[in-house]
Amino acid sequence: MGPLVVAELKPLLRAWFPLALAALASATYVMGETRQASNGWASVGLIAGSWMALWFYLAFFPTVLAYGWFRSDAQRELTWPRKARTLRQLAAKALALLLVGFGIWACVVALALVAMLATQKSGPVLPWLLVKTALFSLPSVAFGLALLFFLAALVRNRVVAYGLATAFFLLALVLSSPERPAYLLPLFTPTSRLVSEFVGFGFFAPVIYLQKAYALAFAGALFFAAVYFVSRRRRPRDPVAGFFSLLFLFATLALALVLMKQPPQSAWVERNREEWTALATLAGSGAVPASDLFYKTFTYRAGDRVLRVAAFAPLAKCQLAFMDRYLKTLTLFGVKDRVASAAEAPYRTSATVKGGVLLLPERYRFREGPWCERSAIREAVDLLIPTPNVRRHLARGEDARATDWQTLKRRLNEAERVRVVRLLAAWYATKQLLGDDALAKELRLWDRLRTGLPVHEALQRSGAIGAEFATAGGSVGEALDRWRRQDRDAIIGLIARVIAERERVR
Amino acid sequence: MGIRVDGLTHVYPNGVHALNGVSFEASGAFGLVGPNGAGKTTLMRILATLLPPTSGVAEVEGVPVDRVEEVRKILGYLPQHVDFYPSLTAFETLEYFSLLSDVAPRPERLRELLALVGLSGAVDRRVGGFSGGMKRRLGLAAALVHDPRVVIVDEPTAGLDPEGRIEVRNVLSALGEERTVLLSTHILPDVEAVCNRMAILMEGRIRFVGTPQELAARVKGKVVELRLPAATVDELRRNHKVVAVRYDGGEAIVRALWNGESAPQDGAFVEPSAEDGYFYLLHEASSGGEPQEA
Repeated sequence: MGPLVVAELKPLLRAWFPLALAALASATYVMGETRQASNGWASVGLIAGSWMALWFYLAFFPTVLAYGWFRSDAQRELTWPRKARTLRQLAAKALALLLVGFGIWACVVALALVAMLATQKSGPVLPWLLVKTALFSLPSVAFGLALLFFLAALVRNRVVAYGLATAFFLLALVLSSPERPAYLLPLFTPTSRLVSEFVGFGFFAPVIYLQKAYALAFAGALFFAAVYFVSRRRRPRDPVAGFFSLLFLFATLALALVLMKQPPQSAWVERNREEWTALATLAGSGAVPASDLFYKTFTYRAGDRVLRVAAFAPLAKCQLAFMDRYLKTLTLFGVKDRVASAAEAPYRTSATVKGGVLLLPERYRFREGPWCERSAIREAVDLLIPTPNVRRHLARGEDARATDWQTLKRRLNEAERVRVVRLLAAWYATKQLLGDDALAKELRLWDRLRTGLPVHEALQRSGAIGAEFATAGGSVGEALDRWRRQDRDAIIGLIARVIAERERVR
Repeated sequence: MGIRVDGLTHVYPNGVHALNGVSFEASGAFGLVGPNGAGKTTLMRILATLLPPTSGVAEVEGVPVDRVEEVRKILGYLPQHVDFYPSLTAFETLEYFSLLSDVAPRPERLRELLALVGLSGAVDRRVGGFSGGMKRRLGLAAALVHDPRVVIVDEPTAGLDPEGRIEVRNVLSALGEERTVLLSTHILPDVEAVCNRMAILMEGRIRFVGTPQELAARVKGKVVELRLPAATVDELRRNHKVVAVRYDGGEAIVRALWNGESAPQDGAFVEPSAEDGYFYLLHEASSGGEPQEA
């Protein structure tokens, strides 16, 4: 088998164009994934890489297969009357293709690692994260290959086989919505919110492992079906391949049944948020050591202040920036070492966190630049002034029909008011900590986002910003002046009152 | 022992009878001739173990074709169309086919084979740059990597230039000296040049088995060459089967199958070729004649 695989590898490695295309696709994709960029060239790389990764299957495998076993009837007629059995012939080709696919991934992951080391000035890197991501992508590669083999064996026409495969991949792309239980798509990839689970942590990990097993079983079923159908044509028939195909098919169906019972990704995202809150509670109350919760604890020092932190991994660049801004924001509002969770706002129950641990979400890990600073300030302000949890109120079934409308409306109004106060507090903190330019940027961002945004309309109604804010030239500066001139004291007073009220409730 | 076929019948799932009780024995260089759609490729694929027959017997060196793996050990097959990995060299291609045939590729043996088919100067050249004739010859070498006792070649000279045809024919002649070569073609001069015996397959039935000379002798006294005014050729076609026409000024020199006892006034009986015999059988088959054995 070995020499035959080597022989099959030679033409693949010499097909330089599809090889270069595949390498480029993988490189852009992995780099984009690694940086998790929200803007700039890295995000362009991420988007382009996602599409190119798709083309990895659509362009690379069909192209190399076009030079291979399914090239034409002519080559089949040459290779089929040979002594090597169908399984051996097809397995050698499949192994060679998988080796090339894995080789491309390995090279690209190594390159991504080097790039990370070169560009990331502080904080550690996570080579295992990249390697695991690469390994987890292999079932998809195996499936893509097996699907093409199967289609070519079944329809006997290369063009039709590639057409069907392309249609399948496009359909898979369209159907891979986080809102749908998309696990049955062999090319399934979790949303970025579940990335830590993707690499093996958290509640979602078993689903991922199940899904990968499902994709592999599906690939196995297709591969053996391809061997079986080809062996029927070239003889002798290979009933063992048929048996294995059925065996893998049953495994696929069994795993599919289990997967179908799993909630959709959106539900897992919600659970993920709740998990953070629960972990914050457990760790903060000292009931369970943070080290037992998969998350490592670290000590963060800022001047004479010391904070214990629990995080997914040793703090990275953005997390460090986050910590710094977070503490400064707390100080600005006169709040001492507040321990809380930086989990999602709707599920934030930081009031219950009484230990000395701040739980830092993993998603901060790969963020950079202004996003860090802004989000740190927002998180800190959000922790100071939590909103009434209208969403949870509704989720408990206390909707408009079951609840007194006036009560609900009051809660909604209160929530809206608190949101406005939080936003203004964040602006205030931004100006104090980051300066006028940063605030101007922040306001410009809001200016772009303002259309139809309820919170912005509320800001207008409260008089914090004027109606001319969005339309007049230089409106950002004008709004800032107006805020400075007229509303600053009132707003700070309002913030102080809200904080005091919250403290009293606690 | 070569190839033995007895009462071989193949019916495709759509009901087409490709072969109807075909019987013949072949050893040495044996030609199989017939028009397109006669069933030649079906017969080749059955013998190459790619297609099971509906009924009848087909044996290669005494081994029934049902024993697929045994037959594949002793059979080399060159299909009508050949295609290789374009990025592999001729040598690497033969290595690849050796491995597929469960034979350890020995460099000296592979070089010998390439020399046999006249490709010793292209051992390290990539196949993508080969001409059609070179690819066909490489295909022939690939069919021989496991030293088979029987070689089946389907239309090996189709589409080749005259030089390429001669090269392939020479290789086949040499092979026919020491093993059974079944040459399927519709180019009769190739059969005459390579084979000592031949069969004619028409509409799934064997119409003739014998030597090319016997095929030619079948129409002795039936082939005339006429010199006619060009305008009268159409009239001649209505009454006789015209094998060939060559125009010379206002006249036509016509080779035709002649029904009469005596030669026409403006022509004479000529020595028939195997092609004339083939044409005669073809004409006879279309008019409902019975199969003949030489």
